[in-house]
Amino acid sequence: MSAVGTMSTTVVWLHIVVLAVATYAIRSSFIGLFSYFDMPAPIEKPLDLVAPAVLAGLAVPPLVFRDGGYHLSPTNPFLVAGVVAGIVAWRTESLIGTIASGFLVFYAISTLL
Amino acid sequence: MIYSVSLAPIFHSYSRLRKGVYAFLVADPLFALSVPRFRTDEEGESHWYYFGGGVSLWGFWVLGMVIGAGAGIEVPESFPIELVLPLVLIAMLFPVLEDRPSVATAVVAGGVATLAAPLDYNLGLLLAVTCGVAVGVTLNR
Repeated sequence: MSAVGTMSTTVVWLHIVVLAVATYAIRSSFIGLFSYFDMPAPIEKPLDLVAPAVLAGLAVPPLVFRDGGYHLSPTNPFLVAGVVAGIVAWRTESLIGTIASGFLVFYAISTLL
Repeated sequence: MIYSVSLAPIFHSYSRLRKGVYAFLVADPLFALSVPRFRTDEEGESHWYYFGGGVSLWGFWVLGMVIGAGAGIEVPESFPIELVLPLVLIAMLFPVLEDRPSVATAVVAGGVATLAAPLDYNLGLLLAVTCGVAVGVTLNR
């Protein structure tokens, strides 16, 4: 908070505007680009696999790699919660059920150990 | 940027205004929820699903920040905030697994991302997505 405290309002707004433009440019980059070109067919098909790849790539590491080290043991509450939530998600495809079961397992293990 | 590539062919036929607004709304959960919907879309109406979801997410996100920051609410130490994102992502992952190549993609990407987790600048995720998609494409042939 102290960093913001020493900055003038103008500088803060400048940061906000620059970051807004940058993040919007990234998000719209290819959507805009392929308005002018057709997406080549060999690229279009693999894009179906992007969703599973990104979701798995983001979901798994924080459960296993924590505080700069790997925790691949059944006493790691994050890992066990993730595995149980995975089974629930697979069986029910329910968002609420998945999150609830994950937290339930997390607290159960944290309390028991 | 990965989402932008992925959404580009879907948004291809939309007007410039619609593309501009939809690009503004891109976010992880919206992408994950909309992709299966776009894939099975026959009437071409799924973009309203995307729009509605995007506006709701954006609204609640901003509202949440205003309330959280404005009221100075702190997350209690005991609450495992790092668990929320993985659980939400896991819930959104299974609906997009529809055949063996997509399952293989997810398994490889999850594994590679974990092995590469010590790398800086999110390089692990880029590596994971590249390896996962490569394996999935190979299996699709």
